[in-house]
Amino acid sequence: MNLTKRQADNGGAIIELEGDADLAAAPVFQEAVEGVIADNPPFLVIDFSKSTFVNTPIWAVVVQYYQHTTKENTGMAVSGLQGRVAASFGVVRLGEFISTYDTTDEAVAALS
Amino acid sequence: MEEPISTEKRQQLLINVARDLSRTENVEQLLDQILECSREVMDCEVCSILLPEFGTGDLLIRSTKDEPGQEAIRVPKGKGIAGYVYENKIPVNLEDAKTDPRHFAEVGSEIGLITRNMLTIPLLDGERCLGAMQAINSKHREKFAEPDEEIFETFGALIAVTLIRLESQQKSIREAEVRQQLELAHEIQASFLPPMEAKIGHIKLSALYEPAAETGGDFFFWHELDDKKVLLGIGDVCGKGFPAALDMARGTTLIASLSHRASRFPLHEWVTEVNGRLCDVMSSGRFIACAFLLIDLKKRIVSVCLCGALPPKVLLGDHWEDVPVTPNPPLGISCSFGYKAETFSLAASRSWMVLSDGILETQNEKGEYFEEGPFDEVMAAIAANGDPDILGTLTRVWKEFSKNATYQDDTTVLLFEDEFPRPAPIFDFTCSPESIVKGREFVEEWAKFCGMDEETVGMVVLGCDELLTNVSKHAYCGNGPVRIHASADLDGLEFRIEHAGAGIANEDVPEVKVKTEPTVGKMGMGVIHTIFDEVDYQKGEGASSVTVTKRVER
Repeated sequence: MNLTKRQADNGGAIIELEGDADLAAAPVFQEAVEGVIADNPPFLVIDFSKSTFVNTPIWAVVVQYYQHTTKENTGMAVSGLQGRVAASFGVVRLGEFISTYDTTDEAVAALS
Repeated sequence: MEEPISTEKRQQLLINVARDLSRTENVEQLLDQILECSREVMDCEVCSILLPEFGTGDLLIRSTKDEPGQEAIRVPKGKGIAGYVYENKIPVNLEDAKTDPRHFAEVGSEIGLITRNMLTIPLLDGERCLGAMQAINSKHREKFAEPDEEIFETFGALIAVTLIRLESQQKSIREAEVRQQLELAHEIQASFLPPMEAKIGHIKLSALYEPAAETGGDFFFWHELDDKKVLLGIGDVCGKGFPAALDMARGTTLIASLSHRASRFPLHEWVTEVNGRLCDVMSSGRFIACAFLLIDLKKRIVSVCLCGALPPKVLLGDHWEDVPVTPNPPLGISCSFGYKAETFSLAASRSWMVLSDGILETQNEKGEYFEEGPFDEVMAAIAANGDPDILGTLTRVWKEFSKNATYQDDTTVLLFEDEFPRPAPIFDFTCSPESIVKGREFVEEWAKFCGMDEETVGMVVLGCDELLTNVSKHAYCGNGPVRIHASADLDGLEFRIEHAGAGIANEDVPEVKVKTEPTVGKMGMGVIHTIFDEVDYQKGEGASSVTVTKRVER
């Protein structure tokens, strides 16, 4: 898996995951998310548009950040869910708690 | 006045007659020849031949006094001197026939003949009497003499032989005609059947078809449909002979003409339509037992609808099993019946067999049934030996069993073999966070082999990944050996993941609750139980496993 972390124009953070996001990738993702928590930006968008597989170790990190946002009253969203990744997101039922957008731009616009 | 015919002339006439009779093949011509010759030989006014009519036993007279085209005069069975001779098989020589109490005067008056003397002889073939001959009114004697009697009997023997020859010839001709008609009927019936072998996509089809007679009531069919589907099956029309053959033609034609619709509707709906159409055209009391199988090569599933037929057999590992299908009544009985079908995973087996009851009910010369032992034995041997020529072996054993049997029913067996490459059943690897992707690839190959759709494949891969993640993360806390067993059966797909790490038992699995807020822990367990229909954890010393099943949607 490749992970890219960047900053949005209005100070928010964006993490983009590419390829299979599985147990092997979870520590890298965890470290990136913990870095975001430390920076405490106004929002985080996690972009899955280039992800081919996502399992629960990755969703657990997403939940970890969700718990941070509820405590710190910051924003978060996921974007680019498709195919098997969308099905995986559906089966863990995170859509009931976390906002989803088709594109990262839409997510950033909504959270700004 | 004419001179009496000499003995030498009579002998010469007899030789000529014998030669002519052996050449004649036309019955009418033969009778005329016999009568003309016999009158000359017997030196009398009239000669007649009386042959029994089939069915009534009346004797029909052909005489030298007949006008061309005249209808034969009839002597009722047992009447007259001829009737007496025919029944008692002895000659009767009378000086004054009309005074004999057995005389049947109607014949004489009918042909305008005043009968004086009369010699009547039986035409014998051993103990069997073929008819009688009469010489009436000798031209030069008051009564036929003993030499007349001898020569007439010699002549009669010649005629009997000729009649037997002609009878045999005519019988042969009739039999040849019947044989030709039956062969033609056989050819016509065969034209309603597909070839005995075919290949459609990865499906190899082969049939054993042995009607008990030239025409039969069994049939088989396969049709390649749109959307990568194949419709196949067998039928068994009630009854035998031509009525069954006609209904067989009706059944195969209807199935062929409606087959294109089978790709657009669920199998049970299509069969209900076929049944409705058959009920409209079939006679009361007639029906067709059928087994229909609809193979979906894209989804790799097979739907089965049984209509009074035996369940298909499927080779599962080292044994054959009946495919568990709910039976329906045969076609043609109830127009309004709603048929039911069931669907199974095609990946369950490479070999599926559909058969009519004829093969099971075959009896050998001792009266033993093929189903009482020999059938199960050969099928078990085929399964145990992994025999690649399933139908060939079954046919050979069945033919050997039934070789001297006097009767057997129509026999039809249809075998289809799925030649889609089967993935390896076992995958061994060292499970680690980095290598779990290899386990996912193995699982994906099997899910696709079972014809699961893209979304289900994704879910099954995710579910197994969660199991392997737990093994690496919790059972081994890192790396360790894992073996994945994959197998497909009629109901769907099963994976068994074996490992040597710290296992868990079913009672250790926490209850999955609906959450009001997402939590980090135990998320994988919830995913596994959501995706799979059955999950079974087995904990052992150094050898634990978890088995998951994903059922095919019926």
